[in-house]
Parts: sequence; structure tokens; C-alpha cells
Amino acid sequence: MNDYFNHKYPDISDLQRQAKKRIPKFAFDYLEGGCMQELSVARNRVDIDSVQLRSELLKPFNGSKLDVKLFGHTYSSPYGIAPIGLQGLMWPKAPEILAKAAADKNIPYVLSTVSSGNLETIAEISEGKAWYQLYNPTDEKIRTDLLNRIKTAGYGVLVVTVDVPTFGFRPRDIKNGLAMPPKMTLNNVMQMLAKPSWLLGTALAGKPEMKTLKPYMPKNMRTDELAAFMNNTVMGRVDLEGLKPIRDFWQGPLVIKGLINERDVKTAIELGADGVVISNHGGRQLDAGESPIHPLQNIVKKYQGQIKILMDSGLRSGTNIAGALACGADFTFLGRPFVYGVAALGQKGAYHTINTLNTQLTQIMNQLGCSDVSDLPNYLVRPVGNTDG
Amino acid sequence: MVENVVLHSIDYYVIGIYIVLLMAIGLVVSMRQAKSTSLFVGDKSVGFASIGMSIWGTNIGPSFLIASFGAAYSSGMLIANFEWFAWIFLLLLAMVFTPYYLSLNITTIPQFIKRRFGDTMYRLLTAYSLLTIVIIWLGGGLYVGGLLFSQFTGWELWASIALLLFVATSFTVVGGLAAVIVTDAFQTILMIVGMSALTIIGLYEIGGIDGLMAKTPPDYWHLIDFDSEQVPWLAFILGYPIMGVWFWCTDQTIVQRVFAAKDLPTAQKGVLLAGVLKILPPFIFILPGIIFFGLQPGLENTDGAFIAMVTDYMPVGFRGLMIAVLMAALISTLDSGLNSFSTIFTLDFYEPVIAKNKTLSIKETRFVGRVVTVVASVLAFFWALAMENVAANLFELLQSLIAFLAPPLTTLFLVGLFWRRVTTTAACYSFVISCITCITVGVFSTQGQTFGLFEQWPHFLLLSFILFVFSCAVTILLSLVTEHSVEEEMLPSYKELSGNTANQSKSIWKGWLLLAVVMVGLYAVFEYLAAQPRNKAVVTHSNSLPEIDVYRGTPPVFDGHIELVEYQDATHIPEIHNWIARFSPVLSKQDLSGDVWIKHDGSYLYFAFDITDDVLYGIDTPRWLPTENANAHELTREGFPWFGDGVEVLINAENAMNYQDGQLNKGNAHSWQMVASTHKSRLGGVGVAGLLEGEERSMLSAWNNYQQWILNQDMEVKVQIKTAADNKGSGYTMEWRIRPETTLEISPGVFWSPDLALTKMGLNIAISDLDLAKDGEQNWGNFHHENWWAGERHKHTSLNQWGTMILHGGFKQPAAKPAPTNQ
Repeated sequence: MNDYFNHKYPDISDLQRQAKKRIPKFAFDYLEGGCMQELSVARNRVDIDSVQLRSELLKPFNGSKLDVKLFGHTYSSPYGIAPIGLQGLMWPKAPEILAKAAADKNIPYVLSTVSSGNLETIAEISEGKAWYQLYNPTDEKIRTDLLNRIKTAGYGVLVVTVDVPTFGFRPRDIKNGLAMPPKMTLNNVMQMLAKPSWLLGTALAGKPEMKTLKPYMPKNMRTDELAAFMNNTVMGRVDLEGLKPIRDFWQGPLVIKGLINERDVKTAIELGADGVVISNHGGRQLDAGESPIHPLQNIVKKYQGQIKILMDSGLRSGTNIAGALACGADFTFLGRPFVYGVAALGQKGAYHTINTLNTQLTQIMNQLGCSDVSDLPNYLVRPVGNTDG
Repeated sequence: MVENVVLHSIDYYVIGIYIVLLMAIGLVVSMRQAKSTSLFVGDKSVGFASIGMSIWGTNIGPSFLIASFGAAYSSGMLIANFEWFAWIFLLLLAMVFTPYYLSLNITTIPQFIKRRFGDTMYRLLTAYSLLTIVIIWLGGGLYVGGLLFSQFTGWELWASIALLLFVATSFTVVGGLAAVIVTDAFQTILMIVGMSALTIIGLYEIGGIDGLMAKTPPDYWHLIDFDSEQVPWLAFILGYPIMGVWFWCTDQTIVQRVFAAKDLPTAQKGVLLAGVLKILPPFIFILPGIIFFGLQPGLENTDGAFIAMVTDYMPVGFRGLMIAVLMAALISTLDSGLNSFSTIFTLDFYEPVIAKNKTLSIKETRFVGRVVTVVASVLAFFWALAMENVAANLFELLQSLIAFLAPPLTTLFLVGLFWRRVTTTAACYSFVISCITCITVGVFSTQGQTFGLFEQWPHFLLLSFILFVFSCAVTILLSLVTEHSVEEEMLPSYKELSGNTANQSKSIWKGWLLLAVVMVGLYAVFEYLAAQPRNKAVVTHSNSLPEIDVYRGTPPVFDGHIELVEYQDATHIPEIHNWIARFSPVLSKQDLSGDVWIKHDGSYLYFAFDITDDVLYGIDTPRWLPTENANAHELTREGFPWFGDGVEVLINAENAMNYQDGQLNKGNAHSWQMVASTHKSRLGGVGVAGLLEGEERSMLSAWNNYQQWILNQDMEVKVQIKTAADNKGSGYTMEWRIRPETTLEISPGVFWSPDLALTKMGLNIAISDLDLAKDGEQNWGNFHHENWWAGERHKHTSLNQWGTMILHGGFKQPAAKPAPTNQ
């Protein structure tokens, strides 16, 4: 399993196509969709693809390695699995599958607060290697309880997402009437019946629910009530004042996720955060938002060394990972590709995706003549896009 | 049962499509037949797949469906034995009986018996067969099916029955056995698809395999249980074969399907297929019943479980599908019954008796057969309507009926076929004697009438075996004292028969062997699974205050009486006399002692108390007043609710951290303290035991909350005072149940539910004992005893002094067995 590679799917887009065939439309739409016109989803892709690298071939070269030291742990690859909500909706037990594969392949898996995986279960599966992503709950009782649970379960790194001050306006989900668990409308039932492998797997795994949050949720909420509950209690706006108590409580590495403005990075450093994730939430929150690859370069120039600079949004290949690292990121995250992998190939798909990305990345490193991922900025063709922050 | 089931117009379309499709298939098959085809064996061209599916579909009727679903709901997989043992008797049918039947070229079972035992036995059996078809296949099933249909649709019972009968009769009249077999195959597929959908949706709702395991008791998964009340293993092993031989090998309605096969291998393959399909029912009929128990435990009428599950969990369109499944179960049974009735009546009664053995042309038999089918269906209509007035426990009756019908015929076939010494005279007399005995025993045992001769009737399966042994003994005895008559014909021995077919049946034997391996494997897998430890309990013991785990259990009978079996799955807190004494320590167990049990059933949290108390205040004593309060008896905020004999339960659902010393409960669903007294109550007033508003009464909000809970029955208490008559000493038993969704608020707006794997709550319990004033003269209020489960003396009511109740959403799982050590 560890070295699984399926020759039919050498590119993430192959997995994406297969995933679309295997899961109901409402689930695929949730994974794929973005805010409003989905402009920033598309822009993320174009901009990260435009990064160019230049090889240097005649110098001595003794092979390359992918490992990166981050927050005291040496990871085997310079990327991790980004937090994605409702993963279990896309494929049964997706959080459990991905957490296990990430632990086996020694990369970080970030569990989302709104995941279908239970935080205690995932901590056990990932042998303590997983990170936890928190939407800072506005209800103090829930926040305290969640933080206690995260600590007790043994998560090493806490990621607080700050770029969801409002509920993302996503037309695909609105049209599909997406709910968690999915509503048994005739349309949804037909979509499920059309995907028998998903259906059977989902039945055996049970209906996808936000297991971590379940104890705090009133029973039998309607969709609009759920949205209001999430908005009011779980996903509130987070500012510096909101982050301070978390910093005080959490002794371990604290990462602020979803920043794109230099001034916010400065604030994060003042707060005492250990890392930031430069991100536009995969294009799911601000349709006019800029691609993170652009401000990344200035942020790196100003703050490298003061705080770990991580990046996600739009990465789909080893090429993109190398591009982001060449632009100065210390570490990267990918979200959708791993879910494509699991939806396309089940448990094997998680390993397949990691192995594919590693193979791609190694080929790039060897072709460039770059022996360590931290040297990648030396191979960047500058400048990349509009970098005036 | 459930009424007012909401059906969407889409559901009606689905039902309509099913009926149209069914009748279309039936009529197309009928039209394709040549005019000369027999209504009773078809044109001998039916394929093995149709034969197999038809046997399966005929066997599964609506009453079976409802009853096995209900039995699965109330006791788990055990009922699956009835399904997973059937293959042995199907094997017997395929490999032993079918070669006989086909070699003798017969069409009905009575004809077969005629060949062996002659005319008298033939007539007896014709009557017997017609009777059983009407009782088993037509009447009960039609009534149950019509009842279910009328509950779903809101139609009148007679209209429902009429519709179902019309559909079933239509193609049976026109197409005969061939149409019945082909439509049965279609309906079998429909049942498998529909029930699979129910199973899948149930699994989805309960949280998959993990959720199912957590929400069902481990012993629900055992297939072998010697102590079960429902299916005691020994009775099953002895009794089931008696029913199995009769039902699967000699009943006209099942056996007629193999007569329609074009040759022996086709018939055998068809029966083998039926055996393979018999693997399915536990997964698609019984499993959903178990799942529904996990989803909604505590239903009193388990016969209503199936409908309740369909109503509560099936989406629009699928409810219509499930009604179609029920109709399919009924119609596939009904059409077979009608056809078999018509077959036996025409060939074994009309031809020999009315037509005086004049050989009828095919045209004539077809006409008579059709008329008889219609007449039978009209009879069935009135018979089913009449059933409405029969006993309420109809399902049970139908279940055990077969056990009493089987022994005479099983004896006749087994002994008669395999022992040539049996004489006609012996067979006839013993058949009649055996029938009369079985019916008598059947009637008395279902009524529980023992005439004081013994304590209770054995399980019906065991009775069936005993009756079989009795019939055998009578047959053998009579045979030894009588002689063979001239009209007897010895049938060819099995060896002679199998010699001809040995070669061609080799591959079929291989099929049976494979099936046997699979069945043994299934038993091994389930027994293995039932014995496996499933989840690790996460329990942390941190301080000196007591901690207990409370699990889900089966719903007790909420009546104030405590039977041992009711609380054997509850958490037991013993020895209340050794608890922490607030007043005088308890010196004798007669004075005060007892036990407490706690569990939940997914709907309520239960506390049960069995208290020994030699003197009950206000019952064994006058209602004296304490010097502290002249209004102690009043049911107002000035009264003393806990003044008397009774218990107090204190729960802190919120269970926050770091309570200050002396911080008391909030008097709302976050934390509370309530009282149950043996001599006064809010609902019954002074003199009637029950619930009272507890502390802190000084807070008006607490008083109001508590009173609302009592009035709304969010909390209920039932008390039984022990009397000399019941021989349990003196004292009382009490059951106290609490509705979590209104009284256990674990965080603001969030109430405890069994979906939560594990929740810690603060808990304290007090048992108070007031005797005569002089007994407690050194104590406050002249209390004699007040024993507390947790906390320092006089600080028991502070939140930080309570013990912890670790409330598990699921059932307690068996502990991991220690690994076997190598010798």
C-alpha cells in the first residue's frame, strides 16, 4: 500500500475525472466549487502555473531529497494535506483514510473542525502526527471544550483559520441544496443511486456528519438553522483579540491560516504565532481575491525567518509545489488533489496521490539540479506576476 | 400500528408502476402459452432460475416479513436460524424427494401418497392439503397483507384485500402455474432490491457498521443460544427439521414448482438456487430489524416496527417501493396458494369424486381449474375478513401453527418412504390419531392451558419434535400389528433411482457442497464477531469521588416493580447502608439497605431502587411533624419535600470544571436536585408516592422548572410499597425515569442524546429514612438516616462533591478475552 502507484492516473487531473465519475454530483460540486463566479478558483490555477524554473546542469549533483524540518519535526515531503470540511461526504471515511496515509508517509494531515472525522479518532489514527484546524468558536464554552479536547487528544500543531468571517456564497451548493447530512430529496437520491460504489461505502460507514461538533449541535436542525448555527457559534469573525486567548492557552506551535495581506502577517508575528498559511481558501471565500502566490514573494522578503510561511490554494502537481517553494514558501498544502485521489481509488488513492506528487517533485529537483527543497528559490525565473503587495 | 402514513404522489406512481408491470408480465406469459398447456404444471419449460426465485418468493409472505422483522428488533440475529437451516431441507428436496416425484410423473402430493398407500390415504391427504393451503397460504397472509396495505394507504380493509386478491387472481386464472412462477421471479427480485434499499438506508442512518455495533447489544449477534426464550437452541435443532421436511419437501405449494421443470437437473438446479437465495433473508429482512432497534429502541408493539422504520427513514418514492415489496411478498405467496388449491381440488377432488374418474380433456381441466381459482379467491376474501375477529396475537399464532401441522405429514413421508413395513391401515389410523393429537395440543398450548398438570408448555419447536416422535411410535406400532393390503405399491428405493441419475447430478452435488461450506462459514463468522471485543472504553479515574459507567440497555417495564432481568444490563451500585451517612450511621440491614441500578435505553435515563426499610414513615407510623417546620407536609415552597422515606437524585449535566466549595445546582436542566417520596407527591398529593420539587426551592425558577418537569412527565416515578403478601420483606421498590432532551442540558442549548459516545455528568444520590421521631432525636429534623453516594459529610449538595456518571451512548461491549497461553 505504501508504494502504491496506479499507472492509469499519472496526473491529478486523471484522478479528478475519475472522482467525478464515482461520486454524486452534489458532493463533487461541493469539493470543486468556489465563491460566486469561481473566478478566484480559476485564477489560482493560472497564476501558480505561470511560475517558471531554470535548471543548472553542469555543477556537481548528488541527488535530491524532499524532507523539510518544520515545528521541530522532519516531514518526508514539503507539503501536507490541507483541511477540507465534510470530506466524508465526498468519499466514506475519507478523513480516516487520509490521516492514516499521511501518518504512514510522514506528511502532516490537517483535520478540519467541520470534518466528518472525529478529532479523537483521527488523533489515534495519525499517531499524534496530525494537525488540527480550528474555526474559532464564538461560544466560549464550546471553544474551551474543543481546545481541551484538541490538547488531550494530542494534536501537535494548531491551525486557526481566520479567512471565513462570512459564509462563502457558493452557487453550486445553493442550487444543490447542500446539507450535512445530505437531504433525502428525490434528486439527491437519484444522484446517489447512480454511484453504487459510493452508496454502498457510505452505507457501511454511516451518514457523514460533523462528528467533532456533533455534541454541540442541537438535534434535527434544518439546513438554514444549521447555517445559522455554524455562523453564530462555530465560524465567527476572528480578530487579534479573539486570537490572544488561544495563544495563551495553546503552548504548542500555532499557525494562522488564511492570510494574504502583509499587515496581517505582521500582526500574526506580534501575536506570537509560529506560522502563517498564505491562502485565499482555495478560491472559496472571495471571488475577486488575489492568488496567494503573488503576495507570497513580498511576505517572504519581509518576514522570512521571523515566522514560518506556509502556502496553499490552487496547487495541483509537483510542479506547483516546486513553484510555491521557489517563491519562498517554507511548506505547502494541497486539499482537493487528495480528495480526488480517495474518491477515485479509495484507500489506495491516498497513497497514490502522495506517491505521484513525490515522484513529480523528485523529477523536477533532479532536472533542476537542486538537491534540497530549501534551495528551490535559487532556480526561480523572476519575477512572477504582479507582486506589489 | 402506525397510522396516517404520509404517501407522496410519487409513492402512488411507484405502486401503480409495480401493479401494471406485474399484471403485464403475468398476462404476457399467459398469452404466450399454447391452449393445450396444463394450468397445473405449465408446459414443462420453466427454467431453473424462475423455479428457484419462485420457491423463495412463495416462501416469503407479509406475515413472515413483519414477524421476522419484529423478532429481529426484539432479540437480534437468533431468528436467522430459521432461514439459514432451510438449505438442508432444500437439499433433501432436490436430491431425495424430487427424483421420486419426477420419476412417478405426478402433479400433486396426494397423488404421490396414493401410489404408496392407496385411495383412503389419498382422500385423507387431499382434504388435509386443501385445508392447510387455505389456512397457511391464503387466509393469514391475505389478512396481514391487506391490513398493512390499508394502514399505508388509508383504504378500507375490504378494499385493500379485494385489490390484492384481484391482482393475484388475474394472471393466476389466465396463465396458471407458468404465469405464477414467472411473476414470482419478478417479485422476488423486487423484494430483494427493496429490502436491500431499506437495509442500506438503515445502515446509513445509524452510522454504518461502527454505529450499528455501538447501538446494539453484543448478544444480538449470536446465532447459537441455548438459553434464548424465543429460539432455544435445543428445541430448534430438534423441532425445526420436523417443520423443515414438511414445509420444504412435502407441501404442495412449494413442491409444485419442481413439477414444472422440464427435467430433473433443471428442478434440482432451481432448488439449489432457492437454497443459495436463502442466504439473503438474514441480511435484508433481519438486519434492518436490528438496525431499527439501534435507531429507535423501546417500541412496545414490535409488529409495527417494519412500518415505523419505513415511515421514519425511507425517502419519498421509496415508501411506495416498500409497499410494493409488501404487496409482492403477499401476491407471490397468494398466487401460489390459489394455484395449488385449484390443482389439488381439480385433480384430486373434482376428477375422481365429482367427474367419477372420467378422464377429463385438457380443455375441461383448464376450465374447472379456472373456476376453482376464482372460487378459492372469493373464499379467501371472506376468510381474510373473518380473520379480523380472530385473536390479536395473530402473528405468533401463524408462526407456531406450522409446528403443529407438520408432525403427521413428516411422519408419513419419512417413515412411509424409508420403511417398507409400514402398512396402509397403520398409515391411515396413525395419520388421523396424530392429526387430532397435534390440533388438540396446538390449541391448548397456544392458549397456555395446562390443566395444572405441569408448570408450562414447552417451546412450540420442542412440542413439534415430541409430537413427531409420538406419531412415529404410533405408526410403527400399528404397522407391526397390521398386514400390507393389495392396493399398496412399493416405491423404488433411493438406490434404484439414484443409479439412473448419479452421473448427471455430480455437478449439482458440488453446488450443494459449496453452499454447505458457505453456510458453515457464515455461522463461524457471526459467532466469531459476537465474541469480539469492539471498542476500547476510555475511562479516566482522577479523584477519590466515585465514578461509574452507565450504558445503554433494553427498556425496562416502567411500573415500579423491579425484576432481576429488567436491570441485569444496568450499572449496579450496591450496599446503600455503607454509603456516607449524613445522620445516624446504619447499624442493621433491616433498618435501611438496598441497591441502585442505572441505565438508559436511548429514550430515557432510568434509576431503579430496591430499598429495604423496616419502618415506612406515614405508612407504618403516624405523620408526625419535625420541630423545625410546622408546614413540612405542605406541597408548597414552605414544605419539606424530602421529609419522609424516599430518594433524591442530583445530576449535573453541565459538569463544568472548577466549582467553588458550596456552589449548588442551578435548578434547571444544567444541574438539579429532585425528590421522590414514598408518602407524598406533586401529582397525587399527600398520601400518594411520587415526585416532588427538590432543592434549591428557595429559587423560584428552580421550583417552576421542577414543577414543569413533573407536570410534563419529563421525569416520572413509580413506587411499589413492599407488603407482607409479596414476601419481600418491608420497604419499597422505585423506578425513576428522566427524559434527557428536556432535563440534561450539557452545554447551552445542547441536550444529552445517545448519539454522544461518552459524556461525563456529575451525579449524587441520597436515600433518606425517617422512622419515629424518637429514633432520630439527636439529629436535625429527627431524621434517622440519610445516606449519600458521594461527597464529604454535610457537603453532599455542593457540585464539586458529587461523583461522576460516565454516560455511554452505546451498549456495554464484552471485555476483551485474555489471550490463550501456550502450554
